[in-house]
Amino acid sequence: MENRIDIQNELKQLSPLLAERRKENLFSIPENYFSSVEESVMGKIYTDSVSAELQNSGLKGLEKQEVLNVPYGYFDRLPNEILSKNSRKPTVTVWESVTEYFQHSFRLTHLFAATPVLAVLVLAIVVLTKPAYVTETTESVTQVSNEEISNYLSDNISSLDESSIVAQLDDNAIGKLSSGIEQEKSANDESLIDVSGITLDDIQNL
Amino acid sequence: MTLQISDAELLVQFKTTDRREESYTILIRRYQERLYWHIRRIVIDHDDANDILQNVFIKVWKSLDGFREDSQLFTWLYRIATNESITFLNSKKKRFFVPIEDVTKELKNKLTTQGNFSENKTELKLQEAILSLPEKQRVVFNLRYYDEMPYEEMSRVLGTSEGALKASFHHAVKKVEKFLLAD
Repeated sequence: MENRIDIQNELKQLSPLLAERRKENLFSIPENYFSSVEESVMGKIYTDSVSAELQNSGLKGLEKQEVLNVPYGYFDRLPNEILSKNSRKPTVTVWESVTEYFQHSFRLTHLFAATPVLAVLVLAIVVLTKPAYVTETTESVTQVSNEEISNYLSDNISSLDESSIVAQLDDNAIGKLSSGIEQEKSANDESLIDVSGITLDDIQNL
Repeated sequence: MTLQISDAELLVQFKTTDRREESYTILIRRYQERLYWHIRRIVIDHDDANDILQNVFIKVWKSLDGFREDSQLFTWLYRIATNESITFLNSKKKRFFVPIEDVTKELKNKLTTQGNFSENKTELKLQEAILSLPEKQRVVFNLRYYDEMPYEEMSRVLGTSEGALKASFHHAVKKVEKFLLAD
C-alpha cells in the first residue's frame, strides 16, 4: 500500500503549486469542542436505549390501557343528573342579587372615599349646566315670531288674572295702556251718537 | 484501559465484556477529530458537522456488534461518515428544492463565517476551488490531499475502483490549480 511519501510525490508531479502549499486549517470550532463529543454521544445513546427499553417493556402496553373503571351507564346518566341538580337550585330574584352584591361589596369606607369625588362632580355639573341653560333660553326666544307669541297669549290669557298683569307692567306701560283705553272709549262714544238718532219705530220696522 | 489498545482488541472488549461504554468512549476519542474534519470539509458548517458526527457514532454503536472484521474499523467509520455527509447535502437539496449550484453557493458563503478565511485570501480561494468540484470528486480530493489516504483504502471507503479514484483525483487537482491561477 502507498505510504505518505508516495502520495506527496504524486501531488508534486500533478501540481507543484499545490504540493508546495502549506496545509492550513482555518475552520473555527468552539473551544474544547472535542472534549464534549463523547459525553454528547454517550448521552444520546443512553437516552435512545432507555426509550427503546420502554418500547419493548410492558410499560408501552400500559400507556393506552384504561385501568380505572366507572359504573355501567355512568356517562349515559351524567347529563340528566347535572340537569336535575341545576333545576333544584333555588331561584334568586334580581333585587335579592343586587342587595346581596351591595352587602358583600359596599362598605362605609367606600362611601368616605367616594365623597370628595362626588362633591367635585356635583359642582362641575352645576357650573357647566347653568350658562348653557340661559343661552339656550335667550336664543330660543329670539327665534319665536310675533305671530306665535300672540297665538300663545290668546290661548293662555285666561290663566292670567288682573293682579298678575298689573304686577308685570311698569308705570310707563300703564300710562300707555290708559291713553289707549281713553281713545277707544271716545271712539265708542262716537258710535253711540250715531245710534242715538234711531227711534223705537225704526227698530220695530226692522 | 488506555488509548494504546488496538482497534481489534477494542472491538473484542466491546463485544465480549461488560465494559462496552468504556470501550466505546476510547473509540470516540480515537476517531472523533479525523472524522469531524472529514465531515466538516464536506458540509462546511460546524453545527451540521457536529450533528452528523454524533449520528455517525450513534449508528456505529448500534451496528458495531455486527461489524465484520474483514475491513478496518477506520475504513468502516470513514464510509459511514462520508455517506452521512453526502446524504445530508442531498436531503438539503431535496427538502428545499434547490439546485446543486445553489448549495455550492451557500457553502461558499458559509466559508466567510465559519473560520478565519478573511485573514488568509489564498486559503479562502483554495477552499472555494475545492467547493467548485463535483461532490464525489471533492470527497476524493479531500481524502487524498488532506487525509493522505492511499487509493486502496479510499476504494474501500467509497466503493469505487482504484483506477477511477486516481483519475478522479488527477482531474480534481487540475481543476483546483486552474481555479487558483485564474485572474
